[in-house]
Amino acid sequence: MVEVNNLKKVFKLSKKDMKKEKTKQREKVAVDGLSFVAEPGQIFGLLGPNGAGKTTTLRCISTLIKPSSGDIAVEGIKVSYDPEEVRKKICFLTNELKLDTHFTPSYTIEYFGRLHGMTKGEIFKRKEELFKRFGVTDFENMAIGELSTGMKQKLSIAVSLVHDPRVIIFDEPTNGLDIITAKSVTDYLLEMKDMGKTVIISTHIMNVAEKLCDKVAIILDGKLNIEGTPEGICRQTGEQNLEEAFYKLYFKHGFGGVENV
Amino acid sequence: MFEMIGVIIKKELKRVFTDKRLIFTTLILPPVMLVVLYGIIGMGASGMMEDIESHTSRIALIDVPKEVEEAIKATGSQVKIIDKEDMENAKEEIKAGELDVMIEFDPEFIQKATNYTEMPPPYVNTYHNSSEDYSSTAYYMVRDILMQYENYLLGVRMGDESYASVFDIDENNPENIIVDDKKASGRLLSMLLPMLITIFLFAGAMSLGPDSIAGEKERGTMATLLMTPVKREVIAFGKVISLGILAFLSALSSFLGIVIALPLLAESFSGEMGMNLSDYINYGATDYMMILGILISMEVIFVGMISAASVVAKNVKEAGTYLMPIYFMVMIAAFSNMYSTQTPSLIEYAIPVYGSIVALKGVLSFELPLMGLALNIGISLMVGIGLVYLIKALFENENVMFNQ
Repeated sequence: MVEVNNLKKVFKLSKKDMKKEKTKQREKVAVDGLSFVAEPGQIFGLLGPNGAGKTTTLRCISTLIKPSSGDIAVEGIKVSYDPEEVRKKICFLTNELKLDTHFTPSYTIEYFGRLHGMTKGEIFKRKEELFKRFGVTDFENMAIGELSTGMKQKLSIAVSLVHDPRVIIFDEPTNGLDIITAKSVTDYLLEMKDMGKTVIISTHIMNVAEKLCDKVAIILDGKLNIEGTPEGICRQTGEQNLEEAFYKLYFKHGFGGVENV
Repeated sequence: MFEMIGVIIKKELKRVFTDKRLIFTTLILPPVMLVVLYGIIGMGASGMMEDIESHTSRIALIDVPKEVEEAIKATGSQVKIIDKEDMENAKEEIKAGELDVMIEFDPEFIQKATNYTEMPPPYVNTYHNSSEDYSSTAYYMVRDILMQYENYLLGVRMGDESYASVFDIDENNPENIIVDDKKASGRLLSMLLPMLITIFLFAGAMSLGPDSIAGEKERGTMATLLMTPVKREVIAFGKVISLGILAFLSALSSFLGIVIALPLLAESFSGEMGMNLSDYINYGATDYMMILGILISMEVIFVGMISAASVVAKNVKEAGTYLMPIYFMVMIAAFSNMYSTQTPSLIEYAIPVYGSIVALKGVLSFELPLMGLALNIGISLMVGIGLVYLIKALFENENVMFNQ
């Protein structure tokens, strides 16, 4: 279970950033008072346009960055109190996280297994299982640099799951993947959900969210706009599908201008 | 904690030792380059000397007495007797390097030299080209002959040649050079080695550090590492220690290159600069231990500086930009010490990096005070530990670690 309570993250902007963001403010509030709970055995989706604060929220949960205020608890452990213990319980996957292309998949999974404090026997068993599941076995002794993009992505997933985490966090899971690889990833997430794990994904592709998520939270401008099941949100907004519901909420929030185009 | 540091160090070493390109550029190329470079310089220098020695000097003579002419001919030089009118032509030839030396004697030389009580002393003019090696060598030879001739004439005046010699310098004194052989051989080494080793040590760490830290940030592999339950400081220590080991190996291979290359270079300089491998054996186990202590403590500073710059940098290129001024400073420290002859004051040993070079020089010339050694290693380690804590703080700073 992941509990996010009144999360706020403020970034200080450098002069270069201020120019890039076209603002005169020295700070940017990326996430502003966000609260939600992701339950075990469910897939929780964070939806929102680019820059809404989805990735920042996931990074805070994953202990890569520290919240400015508010609390996050992963499996009952506060991220600010014991980030190492939190990292034992989670895996965080994003396109920004890469593997050293010089090494083989086999060595890489062993290395990360060791860093998770696993014994050689445990790593070997888990490696067999994950490589078989993601079809990496035939390539396990090739250099990662020689693998296809899809295979690299599958390997990244396998490596991040080596310690059998209770919580799986996936930033834009199908981004940049071909349709076959995307399917194998979403299938795996459903499998994880059935195993009782807590899964959190972020996406701006509403179809993915509708098909996968048990619960979604729409974030606009760092704030939670609406939270509920995809059906519930459609009902509340009076729309047929999540995509329409999202547009309605988006324009209602004040991102007008485009609506009339 | 130590187990995890070990896991990271092992991976970092494996990264380098399984990469043929990295092994070649950091461990094989530097010593090979040194040997080849010094070999070429040595061969060139000895070739030049052999060439000068085998060259037949071309000397033009004007009104030169028979005795002098004979003496010059006896050296195997090619002699050309010319008239006073041809002097200008001969000067042009000297300028062009076609003639080495011209000697012009007073036309009334014998007369003036014999009637020295009544007549002024005769003149003897020599002409040579100081920018030509052949000409300079021939000039020294001619001067020796003229001095001998002067002595001979003095002897004639006094009635016996032996009267011309007033005193002998070191004729029967085999001990005229009193030198501690150990220190003499140490002098050359203490001038060159600290400078070379310091630069190699820094260059070795610089060729690997940015890739190991800034490169991992750039490629996105650092974030994967930061997602493991390992503490940030463990990752920082693992990276710094492995970089230290690799930089040391790289410096060691360069050092081996010097050990092979220096005799090649020295072979070409005969006499006072001459050196052979046995000179190195003059250093005892304690000396080597001191060298090792100084090098390791200095390396802690280097690796610390390089790692800190690499953590702050967004990518390898930026790390390189930060490191260039640091490299420059290290080079200044290394070169400024090369020609210093004064005994350093104790406080100089306490200056980071510079003090280590002073101390290395001290060990190699057998003049390092124990207090200086302790001060140098102590201060270097303190600075190094400070840098490691800075790196740890940087690793924990999300603005630095995620500044892509």
